[in-house]
Amino acid sequence: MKITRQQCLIAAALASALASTVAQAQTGPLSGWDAGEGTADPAKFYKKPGYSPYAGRVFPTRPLWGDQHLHTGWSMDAGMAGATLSPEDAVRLSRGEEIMASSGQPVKLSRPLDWVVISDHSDGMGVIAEIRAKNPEAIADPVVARWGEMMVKGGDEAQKATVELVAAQSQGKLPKVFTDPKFMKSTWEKATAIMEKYNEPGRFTALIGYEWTSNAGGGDNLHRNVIYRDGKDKADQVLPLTTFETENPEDLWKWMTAWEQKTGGKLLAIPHNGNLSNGRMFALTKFDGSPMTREWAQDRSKWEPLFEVAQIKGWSEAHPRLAPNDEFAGEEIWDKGNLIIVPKKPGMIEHEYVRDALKNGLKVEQDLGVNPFKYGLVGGTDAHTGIPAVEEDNFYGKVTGLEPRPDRWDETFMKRGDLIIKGWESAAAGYTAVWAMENTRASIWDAMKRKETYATSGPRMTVRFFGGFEFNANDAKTRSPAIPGYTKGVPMGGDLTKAPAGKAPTFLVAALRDPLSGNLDRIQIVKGWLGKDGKPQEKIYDVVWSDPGKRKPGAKGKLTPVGNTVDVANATWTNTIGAPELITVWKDPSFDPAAKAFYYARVIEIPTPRWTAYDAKYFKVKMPKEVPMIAVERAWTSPIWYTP
Amino acid sequence: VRRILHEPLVHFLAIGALMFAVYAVVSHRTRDPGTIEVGQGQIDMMTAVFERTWQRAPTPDDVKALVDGYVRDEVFYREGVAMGLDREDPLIRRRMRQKVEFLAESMYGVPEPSDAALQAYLDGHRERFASPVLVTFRQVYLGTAADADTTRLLAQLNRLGDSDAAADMGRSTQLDARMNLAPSSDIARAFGQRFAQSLTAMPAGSWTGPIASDYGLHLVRVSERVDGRTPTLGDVRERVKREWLRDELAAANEKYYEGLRARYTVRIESPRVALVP
Repeated sequence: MKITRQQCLIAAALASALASTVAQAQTGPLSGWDAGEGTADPAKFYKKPGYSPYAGRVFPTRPLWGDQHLHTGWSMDAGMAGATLSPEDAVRLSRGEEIMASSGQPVKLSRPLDWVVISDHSDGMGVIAEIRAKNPEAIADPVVARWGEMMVKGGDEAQKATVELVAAQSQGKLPKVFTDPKFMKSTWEKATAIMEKYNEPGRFTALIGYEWTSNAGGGDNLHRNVIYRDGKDKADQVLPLTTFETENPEDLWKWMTAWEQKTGGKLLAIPHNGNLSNGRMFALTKFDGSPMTREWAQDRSKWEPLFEVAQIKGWSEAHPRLAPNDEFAGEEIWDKGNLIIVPKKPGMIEHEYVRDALKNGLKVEQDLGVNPFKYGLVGGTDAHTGIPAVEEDNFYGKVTGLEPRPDRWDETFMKRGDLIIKGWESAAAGYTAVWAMENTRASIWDAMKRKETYATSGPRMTVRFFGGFEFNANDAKTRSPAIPGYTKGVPMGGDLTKAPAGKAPTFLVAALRDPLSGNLDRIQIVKGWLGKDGKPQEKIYDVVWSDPGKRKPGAKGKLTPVGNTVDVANATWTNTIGAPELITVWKDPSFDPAAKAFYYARVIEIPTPRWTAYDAKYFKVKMPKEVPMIAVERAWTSPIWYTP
Repeated sequence: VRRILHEPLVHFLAIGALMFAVYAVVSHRTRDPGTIEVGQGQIDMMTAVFERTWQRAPTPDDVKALVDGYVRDEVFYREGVAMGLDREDPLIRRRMRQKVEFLAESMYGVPEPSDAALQAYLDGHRERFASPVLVTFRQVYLGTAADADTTRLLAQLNRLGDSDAAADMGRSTQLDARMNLAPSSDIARAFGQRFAQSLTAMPAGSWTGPIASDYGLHLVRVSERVDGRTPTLGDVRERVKREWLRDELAAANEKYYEGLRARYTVRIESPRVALVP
């Protein structure tokens, strides 16, 4: 794509804006930060600094916001549900334009996204366009060439060509090109052409992708989004995998392997909705129930660096029954059944939520030598409307039928026997923030691959999370946490190994609220580790919170709740409680250098009105008590792992 | 409508649809409903799709599975159609609509736009292609309230002028101390809409404030503002072309639909629903 002078100007403006932020820092230079894929190597950060404290500092200064999971009317289930928007409409909306929703009401995002993946499916199309375009191979047959000429002429000529074509078909004499799949111009190629057209490096990234939608065994959600690092030229070389071919994720990895071998490009896959998998997403067996192997674990960790922890069909971080001490684990839980509400049986939820997968991964790593569940975290909408609008005051729902209207809260979204999921149970979530150097396909994909990402339930808070052995309280006084963060540690998604004698891991964590959303209540660090008995453990630490003068941990270690300013009837709140930003350095108080562990940060906002409250006010409807009206928005970072 | 019916494009697209209708009838007539033929052409096509998906040739077992799958699909497809199950199925209806729309689009060859056409388009949509106002500024965060110290701080900052030292003054914050040639939309994303608005109107060259953002109050010094400008076609050719093409296609698709729609008489029984004109 040609980059215009104006785009260059903007890119240059951005680049210098970034540089100026960096230039304010006081601490040493950052020569070793690895902007490529893979985990950053902490050893690189201890290089001797050069003379100029400003030279060579390169790190991302602003998270890039996007949705890696958006369907349009080109997905059949979305189309069936009434979505008429195309990928082009969805990309334009993501870039900040106002468009008309399928339900006939105008929609615009509060702010543009920086990038988007349209995760639709593919299907076959006709050969006509190739003939019209006079593709030499397509018109090698003189008959076809003649029809092509006639088609281009139009009118009577085109009609004559049509008659001849139909006659040839009925006599079984249709030229071979019409059934040659090489010329099957697929929906896929149409979709990749749209992404190519709207991908503007430095300004907006349109990543190519599709969803592989395995509903094994009748609705057990094993869906994966496949994300391409490369452009149309590579993406078009191979047909995407469909679940007509296979429902086994191991086959998807085989397909990805073959794809990379053929094209020289790169792919990654992101599973989602463990909560609807009826115990299969993070099962401790292979797809067919056989025991996990080292190779299997290697494949899974290679192809699946990320897990989508939040979307409209619920959150999959932790379940209140699995984490009874986690007072924030109860929100937006979908635990009635799988994707078609086949009810859950005991023992299933243990293999559906990512916190437990992260814990079990440590155990599997102990047994097999490889951690198959080494997942970084991302969010997505999974909207089937072409509209990634998941802010509470601008929620356009899961499907077209659940776009804003007075009774959408009461609509039956899914039903099976007595089990019903109502419209109000939809969660207005989520987005992915990527710490990428540049707003380009390669830079964003690389950041995804090295897991330098975090998920949010919708708001765009800025979250930094670094781990190392040398952070101290002074690092929390900096105005640019990225400088000590990258200089002395690894960012979210990274690895710590071999603790120096007598040292415990320290974490620099900082959050700045979304200017449009609620203040911050607290930052927590969730630690999981492998106990001496080989059993995975977890503990949640409140590490920094608002109003520390008044709010202290009580007898059971629980912090006084932040309070609540939500006026449900008016769908408003005030930022008179909480803090606009929080930062601290935290040291693991019970570190065992011999135990595998992971740490991730969870940033909790003060309570704000849930989308149902905005609906109730706008449409003047009354909803029963069971409908939650208050949201506790949050961000989840990718973990940092410690391996002895 | 008459004019549309004379458009060669509409003829062409209508013929395309007609061709497929005839095609369907003819192929249906010649097919024995009790026989499922899996011709070599069909097998070749499935084999090639397999190869384009998996990057290897199918084994004889794979081919057998493909053929078995095809036969199974065909049996159910024919039974379903015979029972009329395709009639009121919204998925199938939507699929048909999409197929026809795609077909129409693929048959409509949009010509390469002339420079004159693009220039006219740019002239007609100047606001869409205008470059944004860019602002370079520093800010010092005061928290949520200004006090007596604010005046002193302002005086101190004005003695400092355009200095990096300002980054360490005021309340500690993770907000950017400086943004360089930032478009208003980026400033709004970082500080909120009203702050961005204030900066587009502020005099440049001195510390001013307090200015309100979504986080609280700030002292601000704008050092440079580059006004938005109307680009020339050379600057934004690709973007203009993209927008032009999209509009052309959308118009062609709409004409195509109108052409098809004109062939039907629509009667709507409910008096509450107005007839589509």
